[in-house]
Amino acid sequence: MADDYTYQLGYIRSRIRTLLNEPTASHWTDAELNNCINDAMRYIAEQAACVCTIDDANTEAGSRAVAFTGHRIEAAEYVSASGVPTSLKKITPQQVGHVPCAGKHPQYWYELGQYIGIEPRPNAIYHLHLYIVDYPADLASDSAVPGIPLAYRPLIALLATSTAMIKEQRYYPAKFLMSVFWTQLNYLIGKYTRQMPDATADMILK
Amino acid sequence: MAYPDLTDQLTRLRMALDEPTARMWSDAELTTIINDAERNIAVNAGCIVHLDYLTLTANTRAVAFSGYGVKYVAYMSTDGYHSSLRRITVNHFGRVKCNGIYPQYYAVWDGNLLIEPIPTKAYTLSCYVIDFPASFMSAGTDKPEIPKAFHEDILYYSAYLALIKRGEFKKAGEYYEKYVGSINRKMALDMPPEYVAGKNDSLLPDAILRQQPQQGGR
Repeated sequence: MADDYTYQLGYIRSRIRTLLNEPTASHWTDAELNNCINDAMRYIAEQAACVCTIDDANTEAGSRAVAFTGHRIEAAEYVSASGVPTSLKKITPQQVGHVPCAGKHPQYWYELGQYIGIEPRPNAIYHLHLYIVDYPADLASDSAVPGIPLAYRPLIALLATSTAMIKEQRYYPAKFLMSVFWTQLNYLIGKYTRQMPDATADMILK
Repeated sequence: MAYPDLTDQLTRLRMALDEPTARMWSDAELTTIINDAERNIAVNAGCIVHLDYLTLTANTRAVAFSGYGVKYVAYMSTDGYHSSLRRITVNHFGRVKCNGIYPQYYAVWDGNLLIEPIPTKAYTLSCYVIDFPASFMSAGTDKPEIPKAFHEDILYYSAYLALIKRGEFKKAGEYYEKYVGSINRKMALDMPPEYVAGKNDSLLPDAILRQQPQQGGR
């Protein structure tokens, strides 16, 4: 079932204009509000880690570094020749050379800038799956729909309005909206993004 | 006009805004705000839940679901036996103990359920998804899809949002507080699994079992 009530760019902007009490552009141009909307969308994606992709990547023989594109890495998997993926354990760069390795295939990873490092250092080409937290594409046309999940789309208008209000030196309203934005964002992150795994005990009648 | 249709919601909202006929707020603006309120309640309370049947593809970990999130997933065997899947994170793949090749764990990623172990055939999963309202209320007789208990919260949230336009932040804050308090109270009544009845809840306490019948008199 698809939600036919989408948050297209044009509709989000008109919501913001309602909150700003400026139905047609005078103090804020449409282009300015579009920038606020795109900034808000990227910020939400970054904070909530809600735009996710799985990319294929290969190691290079003799090099630990594997480049990726996106905000950050949530997990990395090594796909064996038989096609079975196994999650790699995350370490810090300081732990390289100090963790037990069983075999020469990738077993650990760390993140450094736009690269992940592999331990042990690959001696061949190994196939990896990278679970990447990514950025959404900017919205350009009025019919464009934000690339963040449905749950987070209503928050775009709150954050973008708060940013826009600062231009007019309406600081208290801007803070008010930010506090509502943060409360809602934190709640949604807990409810939809950072879900705790089930424990064995959760399945047993106590 | 009958509670809780859109016309009724508009009338109530206009009363809260102290604007019986459109001046500062057009009906179109308030209709959008009311629909936003319904979606905000649906996403925060997770109160619209649908049962979807998802069919897995052999050798593919991912199966897409439609909705805000997932509440509960179970594997249905061919003999109708249901077994609940445990939720894990994407860091657990290949590292959890699997008892057989049927689906036993899931993680949520990019609008998909990722299944562990990787399915070897087209298994069917029953999936309770936290869903969004399917349609936009536009006709006066349209009613919200969220459960009845949450209908009153539409007014609280929409009044808070609308009042921002007039710069009445104190009043908006009051409505927002009412909204949060009301939603939290209702969600607290939706008992999480850790509070289900335990084995001992169906036994009488020792003290009662050992109590002797009252003799009465001397």
